[in-house]
Amino acid sequence: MQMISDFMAMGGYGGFIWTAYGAVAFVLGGLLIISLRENRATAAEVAALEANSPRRRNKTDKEDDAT
Amino acid sequence: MSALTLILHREIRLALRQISDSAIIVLFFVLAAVLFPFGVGPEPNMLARMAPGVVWVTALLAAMLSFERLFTPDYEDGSLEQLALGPAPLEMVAIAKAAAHWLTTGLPLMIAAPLIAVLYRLPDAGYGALITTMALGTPTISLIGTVGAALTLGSRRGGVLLSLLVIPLIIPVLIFGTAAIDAAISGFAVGQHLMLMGGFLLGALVLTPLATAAALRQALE
Amino acid sequence: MIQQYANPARFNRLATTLMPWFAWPAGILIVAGLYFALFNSPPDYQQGDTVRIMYVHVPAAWMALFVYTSMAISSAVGLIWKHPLAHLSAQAAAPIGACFTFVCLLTGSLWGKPMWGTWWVWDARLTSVLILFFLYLGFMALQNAFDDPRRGERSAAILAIIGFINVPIIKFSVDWWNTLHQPASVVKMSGPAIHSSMLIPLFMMGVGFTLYFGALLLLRMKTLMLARRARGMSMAQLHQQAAE
Repeated sequence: MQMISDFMAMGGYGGFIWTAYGAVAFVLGGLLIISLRENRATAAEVAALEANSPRRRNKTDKEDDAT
Repeated sequence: MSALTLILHREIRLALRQISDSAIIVLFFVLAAVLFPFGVGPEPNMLARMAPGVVWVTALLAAMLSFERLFTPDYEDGSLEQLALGPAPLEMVAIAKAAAHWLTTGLPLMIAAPLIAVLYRLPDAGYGALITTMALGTPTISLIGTVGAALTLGSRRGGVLLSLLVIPLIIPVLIFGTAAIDAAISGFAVGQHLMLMGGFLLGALVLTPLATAAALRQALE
Repeated sequence: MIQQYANPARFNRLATTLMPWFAWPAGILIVAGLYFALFNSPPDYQQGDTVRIMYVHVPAAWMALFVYTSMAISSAVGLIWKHPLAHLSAQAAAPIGACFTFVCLLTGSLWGKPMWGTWWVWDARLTSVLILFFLYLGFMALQNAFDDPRRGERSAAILAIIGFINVPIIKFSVDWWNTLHQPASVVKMSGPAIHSSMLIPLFMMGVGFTLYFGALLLLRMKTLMLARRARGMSMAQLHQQAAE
């Protein structure tokens, strides 16, 4: 128990250090989550559009194959 | 060279036709500077201490207001396209625009600056440095602002965006401008600061026309 | 037309294949780096435990510069060779770089408070990184300010190249500023070579952040490409509806 609280205190600077690491986790993790969500939402949008226009989809499929 | 003078003539003629615009900019400069004593109190020593910074910062903000309309009229009525097709390279147009802007905005600001310094009781030793840094700094601002104006040409909320882009780029001018005045007041050598500001001006003179021309070209594409 | 689509399609497949190769090592390195940084590295004999902030602060600063450099290079490639993916990569990188710069400023501030006794000092290093942050924001704002997205990306690309002047200024600001004003309060790494017990976690975090950037860049580029496709498709549908 003593060890854990010593560790958390970080020689008296715990507040600064944990805030710094927390901020890094929050910002970089948040960016990752936002990016993943955006990706999923856009993919869903494209899928919906494709479902709406079958002609269009055929065409893009062909183009994908052409690569 | 004759192409440059021709464009310059045109720009200055156009700018002089709207001389009231310049007057408004200078008026804003004075008004913004006059606000500070109300905000921080009229204590003379503090005002004298603040004078270089206030004069420079308010001059920068006033200049920011003047860039938005730099290219827009020409862009909207198609004369920018004509200029691009004309014999003079767009880089030259950029220099002419910046020069006309300086003559109609930078120069008036430079003339008004000592008046504000008087209101702030700037120590006598600072006036020489104030004028010199203004003379070196305002053309740099005109040149950099021209790039910003060209980049934001035709954008939504051009004015605010322009300030957002240009202000970070002119911070060095502000730093060394005020540092030179402070140094002069405290009796230190100002040469180093002035040389750096001259360097900024030369650098801007070489680089910004390229950037402005590139921005204009892609705007006209 | 096929060529235009071919590149993005190929890229999409490549990105999907590459992404795990960036993401997994990034995760492993960052977790391992964190373990060393927090548990298994010595406190500095002068700075005590606050030196642990260095393991996120310094890599974030590296990334702020690295991402901006990559953005400026892709912008130049996009303007000169008109490669369709170049502007996309600059556009995808900007928010990541802005986040790294923000993290760098924030952790620096949290390190400065206990060490220098203040959250912020107006010295050249801090100021120029702050300007870098504004450049990232300006880039993103300019990119989104036009009705025609192509104009936005080209304008922003020119801005990115102009702003690159700031990168060497940040890099050398510590040396230059000392000759002008500031007493040497910011010199962090300049002492004798830092000990390997500190260098290893620092290096792990640096590489981890770089790989994290790589994975996120690919993901964001994929998203942008999808968004572009969605825009094109909804336009096409509108035209079709108008024609019918």
